[in-house]
Amino acid sequence: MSATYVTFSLGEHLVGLPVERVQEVLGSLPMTPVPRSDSRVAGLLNLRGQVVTGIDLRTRFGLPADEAGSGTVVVRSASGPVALVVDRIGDVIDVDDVQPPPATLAGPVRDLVRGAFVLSDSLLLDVRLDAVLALDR
Amino acid sequence: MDDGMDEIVREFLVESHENLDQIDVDLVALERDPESRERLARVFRAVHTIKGTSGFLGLPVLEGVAHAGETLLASLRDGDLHLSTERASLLLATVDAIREILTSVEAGTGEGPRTFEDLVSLLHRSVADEPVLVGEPAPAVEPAPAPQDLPAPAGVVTAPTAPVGSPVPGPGSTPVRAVPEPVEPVAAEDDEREVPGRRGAAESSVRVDVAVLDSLMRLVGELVLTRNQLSAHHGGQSGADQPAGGAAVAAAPTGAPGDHGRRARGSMMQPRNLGSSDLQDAVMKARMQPVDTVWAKFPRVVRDLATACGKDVSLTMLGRDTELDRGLVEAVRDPLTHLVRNAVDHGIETPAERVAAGKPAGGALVLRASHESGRVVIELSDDGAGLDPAAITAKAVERGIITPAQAASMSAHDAHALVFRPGFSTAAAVTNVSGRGVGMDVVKTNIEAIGGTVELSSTPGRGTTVRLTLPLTLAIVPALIVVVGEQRYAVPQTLVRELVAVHGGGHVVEDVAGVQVLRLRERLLTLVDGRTLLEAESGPPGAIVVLDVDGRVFGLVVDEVQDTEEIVVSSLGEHLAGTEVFSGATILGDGAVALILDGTGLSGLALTGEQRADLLADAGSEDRSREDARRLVVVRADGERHLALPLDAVTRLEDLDGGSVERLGEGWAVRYRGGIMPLVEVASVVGGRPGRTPGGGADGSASRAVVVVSRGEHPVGLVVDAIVDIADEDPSVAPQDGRRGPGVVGGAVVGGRLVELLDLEAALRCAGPVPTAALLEEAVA
Repeated sequence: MSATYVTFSLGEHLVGLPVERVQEVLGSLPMTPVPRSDSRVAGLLNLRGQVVTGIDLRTRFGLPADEAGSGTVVVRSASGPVALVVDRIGDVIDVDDVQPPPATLAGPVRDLVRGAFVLSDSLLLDVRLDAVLALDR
Repeated sequence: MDDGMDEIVREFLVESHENLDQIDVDLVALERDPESRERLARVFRAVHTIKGTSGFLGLPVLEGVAHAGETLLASLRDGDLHLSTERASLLLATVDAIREILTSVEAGTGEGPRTFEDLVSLLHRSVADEPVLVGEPAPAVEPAPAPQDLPAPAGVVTAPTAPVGSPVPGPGSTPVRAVPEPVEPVAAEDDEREVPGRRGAAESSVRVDVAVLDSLMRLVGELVLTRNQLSAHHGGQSGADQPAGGAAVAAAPTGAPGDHGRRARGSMMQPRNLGSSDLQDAVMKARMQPVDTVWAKFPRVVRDLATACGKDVSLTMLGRDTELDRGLVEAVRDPLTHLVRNAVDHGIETPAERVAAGKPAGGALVLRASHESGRVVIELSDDGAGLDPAAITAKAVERGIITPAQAASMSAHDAHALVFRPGFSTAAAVTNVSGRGVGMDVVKTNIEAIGGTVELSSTPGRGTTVRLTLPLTLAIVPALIVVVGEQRYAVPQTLVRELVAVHGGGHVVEDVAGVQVLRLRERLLTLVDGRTLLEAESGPPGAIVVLDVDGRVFGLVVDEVQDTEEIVVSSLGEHLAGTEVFSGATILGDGAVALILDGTGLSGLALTGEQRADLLADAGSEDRSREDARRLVVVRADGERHLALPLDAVTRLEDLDGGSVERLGEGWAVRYRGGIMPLVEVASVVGGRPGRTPGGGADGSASRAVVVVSRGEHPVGLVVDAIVDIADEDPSVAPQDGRRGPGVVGGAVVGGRLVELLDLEAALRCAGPVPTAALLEEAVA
């Protein structure tokens, strides 16, 4: 059973989301920071006249915020679009044969990853999008 | 069921619901004025229409109920029967039954489980002019059929109503026999007369799905946005290439040398501006609904509730055609219903109480709607018992909402505001109608959520008026754009009272023990530093935006004030739901997103001492609830004693001008703001030596200060040697309550120093009775 995934990089990881959950993929967008909010909220952005919340995926994954994200993945959620700020946008690829997540994964990432796909030269992490979007957990 | 049929059923449901609302209104009005043939005829026609259509659609139960109701209505309309309270109740029950069946049909579950045979039989019996009250024995033979006072005497004699002693029609029997023959023809005539009028209405108006209007509204919102972006691009160099969210963008038109393209675009912008403004207005108008869509059910609500409470209440509705945005109509529905129920349940007294108080037995409730300077005002007044400030403050103290000291110095206006505090309910007993401690605070929250305000005024014994002020529309609001740090924020214009320039305006921000205050026209204004609040770097204050949030006035320190802009409000997503200082976000003219500051959130911070709470949180100290950290004014009196009183109780701080002090009876007073303010020497309240006269008689050289507190509506001046500090009580040190000596109710720690808490009540008692002009005249003479 093969599926199409949008991929992007996040620190050392190559991460993917099913293409159906992705509304669009954009470059870096100007973001209005929101004081007094969760540190994982990157800010608000103007998506063609719509105000969309941006989530800093680096912080969400517990990675140091030492690199400014260069890509934005707009995903569909139950309550409307949400923008994920990622390091770099990758390719859209077809994958199959999901494996359990590697045992070496640790930290917050562990709870956010459902499984992994083995690619020729790397490992693609299949992310639980709903868990990523639920900041209170 | 095919689509065509579906459509017919849907239309029938919509139309019937509208008709039923109107019937409710008419029936209640008819009870007061049973002579109105016009209303009776209208009710009759509406029920007749429902009966006819339900027969056509194959809804037998509905048809049966409507038919029985129609029969009774026909007799009433023709003057054969009199509309008694029982009959009115029966007809209202019929309306409820029809509504229930319709709801069931709407839900797709057919006509529902009930057959309403009892109701139908009661209706038949009522037509036959038999008492319908359950449990009452059926009258054997009554010489003159019920009508107490029929409109026309002829009706009594000739009306072919149910002959006395005729057999009671059973539930299953045909009731039509008891009905005068001419009913059907008359009905038909009515219908024919009705047709041309209806057609006229149909030609000039169309039913539009609300979803269509909502989407139109959204599109217009985006158009306004685009227009703002274009004019920003035209007006300044800001434009789209400016990094959004960047530093302050001056929107002022630049006198940039010779840019013909820009000028040309400018002339093209003009008609576009006009066009989109007109479009915005037109769509707004399309969304407008008369306030009556909410009010229509109130006569019924008031009637039912008044009957349940054993009260007599008449409802007058003025300005029913006042229009407001559809979204607002929905938003005010629940708060208004709550207020109306409250007024009937708590506001208006029982007839006996009213008569004892010298008022007419029937209470009057008035709903009034109007447009005032671009806002919609809805007022609900009753002539009931009113609110007793003393009872409210006593209750608030009991509930721990305020301290006894605050209560003692509270004005009537402030006391009334207490009913909007969460957890407050004045109802002595919990009734099934209200008094559960939720309600007024929810009303306030809901009204504020749509950018409105709630005001309450009341005179004990005379009644209460609640005034809701609402914006005309929800979607687009004027806002003031301010800059804090590198970001711009929008402040809803309705909250802004004035702007104070700190530079060169002669205004000085005083930093008292880490708390900023501003003296503005002799008034002490607490400040919230926007830079601290919004995590920006603090510099010298640029400007102060004075905000008025439900009468709480405070200043917001910002770096810069820019233009006003019409903003389209977007709600914040789920990830930002917990940020209490923002009420939403908007896209500014240059495409950047700006957060909208929330007045209620800010005022909460202004009053509880945000900085203080933060410091404590950082220090890891166990947080006593924020309300416990009182902000105190510390004064020096009676030598070197430091005394404190709550800032909430203080209205002003004044310097004392010795020359203006005059003798008043046994004490002293000054002329103050067009009135007379008695002076109280704090030293004498706390049992010290009164030393000098307030004016500084003995060694008049030293200047002295007056802390103005209010006693009800009247100010009282507390004379002290100096005002030392305004600071938060240190909540980590438990306050020492209890009498510590004359005029002292306890101790507290402020800024590391122990201070005595002044007994405000005792101090106010020293002021003697409220002075009158006559008293002063006498004193001066």
